[in-house]
Amino acid sequence: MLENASIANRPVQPAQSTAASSNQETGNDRTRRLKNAYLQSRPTICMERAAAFTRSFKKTEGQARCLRLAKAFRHACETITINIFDDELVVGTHGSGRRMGALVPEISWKWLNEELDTIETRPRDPYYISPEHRKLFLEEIVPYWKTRSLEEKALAQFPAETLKTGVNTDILDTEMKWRSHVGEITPDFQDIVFPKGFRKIRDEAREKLEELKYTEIEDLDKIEYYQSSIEACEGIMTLGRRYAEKAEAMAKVQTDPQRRQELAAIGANCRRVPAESPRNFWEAAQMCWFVMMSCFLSENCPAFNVGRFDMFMNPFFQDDLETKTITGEFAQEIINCLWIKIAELIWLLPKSGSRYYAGYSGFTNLSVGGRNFDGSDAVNEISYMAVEATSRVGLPQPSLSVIIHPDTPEDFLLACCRLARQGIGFPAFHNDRVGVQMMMYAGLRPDDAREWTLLGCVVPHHRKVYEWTDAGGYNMAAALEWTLNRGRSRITGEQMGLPTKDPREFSSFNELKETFFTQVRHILNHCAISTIIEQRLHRQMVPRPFLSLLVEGCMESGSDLVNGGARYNIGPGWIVVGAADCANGLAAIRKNVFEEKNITMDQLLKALDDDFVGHEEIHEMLKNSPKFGNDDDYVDRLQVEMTDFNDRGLSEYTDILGNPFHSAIMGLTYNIPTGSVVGALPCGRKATTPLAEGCSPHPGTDTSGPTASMRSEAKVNHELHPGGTLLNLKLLPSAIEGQRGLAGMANLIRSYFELGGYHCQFNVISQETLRDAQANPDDYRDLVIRVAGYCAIFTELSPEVQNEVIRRTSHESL
Amino acid sequence: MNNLSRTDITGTVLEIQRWSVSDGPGSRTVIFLKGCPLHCPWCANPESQDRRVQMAIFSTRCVRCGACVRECPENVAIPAAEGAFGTDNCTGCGNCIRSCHGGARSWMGEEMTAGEVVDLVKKDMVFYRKSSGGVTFSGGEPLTHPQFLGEIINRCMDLGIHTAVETCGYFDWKAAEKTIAMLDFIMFDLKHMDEATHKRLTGVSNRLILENILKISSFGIPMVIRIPVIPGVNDDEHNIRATAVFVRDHLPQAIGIEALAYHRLGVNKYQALGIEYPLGHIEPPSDSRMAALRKLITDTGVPSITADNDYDAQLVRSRLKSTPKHLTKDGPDNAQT
Ligand code: SF4
Ligand code: SF4
Repeated sequence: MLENASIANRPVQPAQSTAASSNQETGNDRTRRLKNAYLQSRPTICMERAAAFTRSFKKTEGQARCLRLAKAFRHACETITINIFDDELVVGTHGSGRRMGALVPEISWKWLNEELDTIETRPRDPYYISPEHRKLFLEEIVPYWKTRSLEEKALAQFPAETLKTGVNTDILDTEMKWRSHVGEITPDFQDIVFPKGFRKIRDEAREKLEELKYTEIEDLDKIEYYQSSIEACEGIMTLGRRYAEKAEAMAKVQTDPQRRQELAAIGANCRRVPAESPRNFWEAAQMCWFVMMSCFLSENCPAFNVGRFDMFMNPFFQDDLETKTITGEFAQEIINCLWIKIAELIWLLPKSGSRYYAGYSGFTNLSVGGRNFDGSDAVNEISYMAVEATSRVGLPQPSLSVIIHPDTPEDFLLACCRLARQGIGFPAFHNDRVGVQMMMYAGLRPDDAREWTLLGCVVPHHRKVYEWTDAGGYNMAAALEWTLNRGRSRITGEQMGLPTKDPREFSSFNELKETFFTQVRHILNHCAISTIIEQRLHRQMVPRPFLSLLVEGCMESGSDLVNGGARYNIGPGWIVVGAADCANGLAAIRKNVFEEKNITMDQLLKALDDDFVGHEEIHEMLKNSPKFGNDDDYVDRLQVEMTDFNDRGLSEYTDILGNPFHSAIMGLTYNIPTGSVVGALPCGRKATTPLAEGCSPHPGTDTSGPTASMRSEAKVNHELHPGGTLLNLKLLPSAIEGQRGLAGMANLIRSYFELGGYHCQFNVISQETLRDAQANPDDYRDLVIRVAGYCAIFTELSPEVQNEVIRRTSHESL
Repeated sequence: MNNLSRTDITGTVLEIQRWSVSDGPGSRTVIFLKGCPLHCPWCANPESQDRRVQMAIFSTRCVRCGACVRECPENVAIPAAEGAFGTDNCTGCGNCIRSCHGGARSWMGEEMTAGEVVDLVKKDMVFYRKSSGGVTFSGGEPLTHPQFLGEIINRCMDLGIHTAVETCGYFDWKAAEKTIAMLDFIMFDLKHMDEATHKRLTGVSNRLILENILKISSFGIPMVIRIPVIPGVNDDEHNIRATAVFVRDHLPQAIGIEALAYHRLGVNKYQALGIEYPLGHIEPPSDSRMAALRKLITDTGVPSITADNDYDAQLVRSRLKSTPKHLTKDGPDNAQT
């Protein structure tokens, strides 16, 4: 493993001291220009990949599915447009331009057929589609894939009840795995990609193939698997070759000498990678990008993760420093360029899905920090440079995660806090101890677990693992609504859940709570049904020949990821949404109906039916009941019960590889669509408004400061949720001013992690948000102004004073 | 244990603020106590001046349900949105507050025992440990509650919790002496060096204050001197320099002077209490003015403490040891190194 402890303190030595200072300027200029070009490019739907797959599929009718997909991937590598843009140091696109959403018709195409005319103007994440690509889609892609997509088969196979609860209801989002591919892997750069290169990987497959016989029935599948591996390797190697040719051709006609030199170097890099092992930092970065974009080419979907970037890139950096072939600033420039490329990876989604995952994000996670396999601290110079890249580039991807453990250097944590203070939401902070516990709960050895990484937004993961971390999400608040309405939706009146007892007849709070859990179980059952049907279909229809190359175990066993080829297989995760609304709601009922008897159940139900209109007193009473996030055990213990139940309920089911389902409490923008179908709730939340996000308190209800939020949140048994948990904290810039504020932030994180929290992310409030808070005070009761000797809740200030705070809230002052 | 009898001491706590990074070293819980002998017109916490529990009115939260009107035995209460009190005959029974579910009426201040305060303080223990933080008593003037304070501090000492006060310096030395001796850190306000001006501004002479600060200094407790900078009131160079010279010549224990810019964030508290804001016409000082005053302080030979310093000099760690060199060039930290 890497000897980071010693390298970390070695300063970066510029290769030629003369070049160092002028380089820094051009480096930042390049980043700025590339970023501008990125921001000017419009998210566009690209049919190149879909067309290549369709044309290849027409020629491979009758062959094994894995082989057909591998050949299709190879065909895409041979035919997609080769783009090298101005200023780029790392090159490659997975479609015809910069921000391309590629359709994956073998999974789902129908939605685009329906949304073709509205996708350019839809409210969330609109896409442009050119007339040619539109024509390609309608004339070539749709006719071939009609009746052939996974979506059509899944919807035909779901039982009627599951269809009713789980399709287009916002109660269960089963869509995730029949509308989109899986993603959710981390290429093994350390042990496979970098040390071998794809030529060696291909040769390995060839050798394996030699030992197999067509006459042995059990060899047949493996023969097809290895053949598909060879095709996939040829595919990505072709891509490298095509880029080399393009760069060389461009270098010939380039008049600017500096750019000509760069293009020549890019050409040389692409001659080398991805076919062979990278020899230096630049080649390694290019290889990393080729692999990431090829992941997107094979499946346009979220959560292909870069993994522990600092861990696998630092050895190259150190070697280059040793031989004086790189400067710190040039390496920084390469990293910035790579960051901008990663931001190009966007995930094409139908309108329904875009509500759950707003923001064009590819959820490409990149982790730094943490510990090594042997337990030592893994922070090195690249860790700092990754943080710096996110600060300088400032785009929403890669999703930068840092893993913190007790021995994480203080100055690294402070560098991360400084970035967080910029207000772009990154990095996400993760607790090493809890991440490792989650991975061990999911079945990893402790030493493997130490090298865990982040997937998507906050999911603990490992590059040797195959899993569906996001099999879908479900709406727990619906179960509370059903409990209080005999299984019927309060909005539509439709019978959706179990027809349980009239709530007026509950004799005790416990009876009500048990009924609630029965309704949750009913939902979980449909979660499991949909996943198992989808998993079977994925196994039959969409094996993953290219991705199987990147995960240890597949080559060794001759089986694809979908068949359990990976070294570790973890069961599917289901995301619960609205846990805090349920905890708050149950607490409000317990207090006001059962204990203090301030109101009767009947009064409560009437108030809910009327969305509190005409019941203002009851509404205020409910709003002022204990809320999760204020370090109040009365309600916090209920939140723990909700989340523990999610683990227990899900782990009763096993998936098609025999692994238990597991719990995730993250959320993305799930809380908005799921909220839209739920009526008024006993916590005082009005009908159709958003639910609580992930494991976080309901927005605006944690009014006791960050330490209380963190203490509440830390009561949740995070290690039970290997799908990840999430805490978003709002802070006003005044609270984190100066070195004091920075240290304060760092200490908050360390303390939260000591208490057993898993993840936290800071939302540094902007002037815009404060204006919104002025207009919607109820959603922002948690904004506390902190200055020496004084504190107050923002929304309780007079407009005049609020305006003064808004004026003071500019991030530059930090 | 004799601890039991100790819990009986009570005090009027205005508010407990968890997680502050600007009221002493590290992350702190700040206990605001009610009652202050001074009446500074710029006070950001006017509700802390009166020793007694008061009722605060948040008229925007009132839903006009009329519950307070029904529950008031004296027929005093009217909806908060309409002025809250119909007559002056309120007896403070609290019925209206209990009946108001919207939180439009609430007590400002609560009678708490020392034990209750310590239980709350203890909750954030892990946050103090990680940051070398602790608890800070503010107000009001916390040293006008020496027994209550002493009891809490005593228990904090047993638990190893760092303690600090923010004081205006106007208190009875004899009564507070023992309590002060137990403190770990003191933030001492010097509002004006001139006795007459001080009296005009705050209602009291500064003689007792200056006597007390010298006595505290003789105890050897680390402290920081704070000047609330109110434009046109005490921000003249003469006063700032006089303060700095006094600190330099008489307070070896002081780690420096922290000039705090006046802000108007307390305005709506005046509204909630139904009093007029006395400093309506004064604008907060500009950043450049603050910088000039801080320079004046350092020119006199006294360190200026800002948000870039932790209060405990030993805790101001030198950082950025292993950051790659090219990243340290113009990093935001450079300013203070
Ligand atoms: S009880 Fe509260 S909300 Fe109702 S009228 Fe009185 S002040 Fe207003
Ligand atoms: S405190 Fe008692 S007497 Fe005073 S207004 Fe309220 S209910 Fe009436």
